[in-house]
Amino acid sequence: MDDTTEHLNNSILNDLMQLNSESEPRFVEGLIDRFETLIAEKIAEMRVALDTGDRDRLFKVAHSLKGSGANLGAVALADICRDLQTDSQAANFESLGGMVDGLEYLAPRTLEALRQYVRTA
Amino acid sequence: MKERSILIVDDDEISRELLIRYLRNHGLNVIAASNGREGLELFERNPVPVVITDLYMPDLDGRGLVQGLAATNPPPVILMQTVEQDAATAVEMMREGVHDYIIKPIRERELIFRVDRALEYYESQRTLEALEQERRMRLDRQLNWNVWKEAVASRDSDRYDSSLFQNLRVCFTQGAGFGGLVALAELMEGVAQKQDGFYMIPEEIMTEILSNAATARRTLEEFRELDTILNAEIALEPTSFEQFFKMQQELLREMQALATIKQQTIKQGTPTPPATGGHLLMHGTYLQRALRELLVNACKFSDEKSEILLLYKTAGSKFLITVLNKPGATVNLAVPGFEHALFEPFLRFGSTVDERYGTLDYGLGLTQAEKIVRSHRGRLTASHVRFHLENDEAFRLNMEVELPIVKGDET
Repeated sequence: MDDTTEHLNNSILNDLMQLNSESEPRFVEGLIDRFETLIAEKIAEMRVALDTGDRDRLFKVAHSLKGSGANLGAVALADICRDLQTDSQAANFESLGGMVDGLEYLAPRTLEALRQYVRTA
Repeated sequence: MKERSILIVDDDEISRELLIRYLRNHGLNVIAASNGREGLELFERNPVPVVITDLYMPDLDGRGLVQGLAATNPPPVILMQTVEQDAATAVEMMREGVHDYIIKPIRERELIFRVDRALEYYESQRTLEALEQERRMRLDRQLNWNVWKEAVASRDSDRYDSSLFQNLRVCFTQGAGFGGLVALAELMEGVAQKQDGFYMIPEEIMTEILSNAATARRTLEEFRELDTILNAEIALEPTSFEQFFKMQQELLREMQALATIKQQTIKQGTPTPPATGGHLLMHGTYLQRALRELLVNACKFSDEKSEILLLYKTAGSKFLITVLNKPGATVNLAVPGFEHALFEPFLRFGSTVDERYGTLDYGLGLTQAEKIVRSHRGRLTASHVRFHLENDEAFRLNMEVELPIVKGDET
């Protein structure tokens, strides 16, 4: 997963870049900045859900982050969220901590890959 | 109600922001809420034709929002966002009132296509509702024209028309036909030059003769077809709704060229077959001719850049095809309440012939359409409609074809 090109869907990003306009040339960069804040909030919320054994909360947080990630072309991150969402309903709740760790590891790399794409587009 | 407005309900601010941007770039008005409850309150204050919602949200989720919106009047068209893996849930939600779904990640082209389709669906649903309300009001009023209609219905109109057309054809071929021939012969005699056993006539006269002959041929052909419709049994074939809608698509494609004459738009409602199944009995060519006539008239007698609607609806054992247009101010249509007079032979809407539509304009088109529909065991009615719900004082002309839905092996 260290190859950042695998983290992203270039076709989606290419569409997104069309949203930068003369009046708002940094629209996509603004979205990525907000995504960074959002990831931090959602991972923290996932940790709380894990600690309290709140399956429903974990399901909804993972669903929400999955949508944001998919829409920004962050497919690898969205895939982990999808697995978390599905497995949140499974019996072995404790093992999900490893998946959240994986998300935390992937997040900064995904953000860097997104910014790199925007810089070179 | 703002007609091209969309409400987005999504707790994910990135998705919400993207949707807002894509839709605004497409010229749509957008309002947004971050959960179902806020969305429902916003809709009640600012009703819109289309709502795009996510499924899982805090406070009130997508399911609750769909239920809440379904209870409003008129309800909006709802599009649900989903990811591919949740497609089964989206299908389940469609049973609860969701019209369509949008797959995440959101792709601009796909989004705009589905939203445009949802707006068109909303518009056609509202039109059908307005027609239904108008129909009820009309029945309540007990218009005097029922008396007149009874009088018309009591005469044997087919026999009357048959004799009328026969006499007219004789006039064309023997009276006016000879008259035209004499006039042309005299003209040729005046200008023709004899040379080496041949007559030479100017090219313009020859062109005129050929053009008149072509029109005469079309006229005779039209009368021959009227003869068949009136006097011969038209063979009706069982036709599935799928086949019928396919034929309608072809007709619409052909009609688009005529609509461009006055930059009009022909919009088709959702081709929905009856939920209870069944098929139609029809003669494809004749029925399409009747429907074409209704659409051509709608184009011809409506204003520039106006909208013509072609809608479908099932009402019990009947299938209804509606052509609705707003006639131009200069068009002299039958008096409201006496719309049936539109089917009288030789009634013409305009005093001049509009050659751009390639029609003969003898005033027989609607008569022919009505006979064709009757030969399909159906009914063609005309009515004036005012959209009271929309405070629009201008009336629309509503031409409605009612065809029986046939079940199983019935013929």
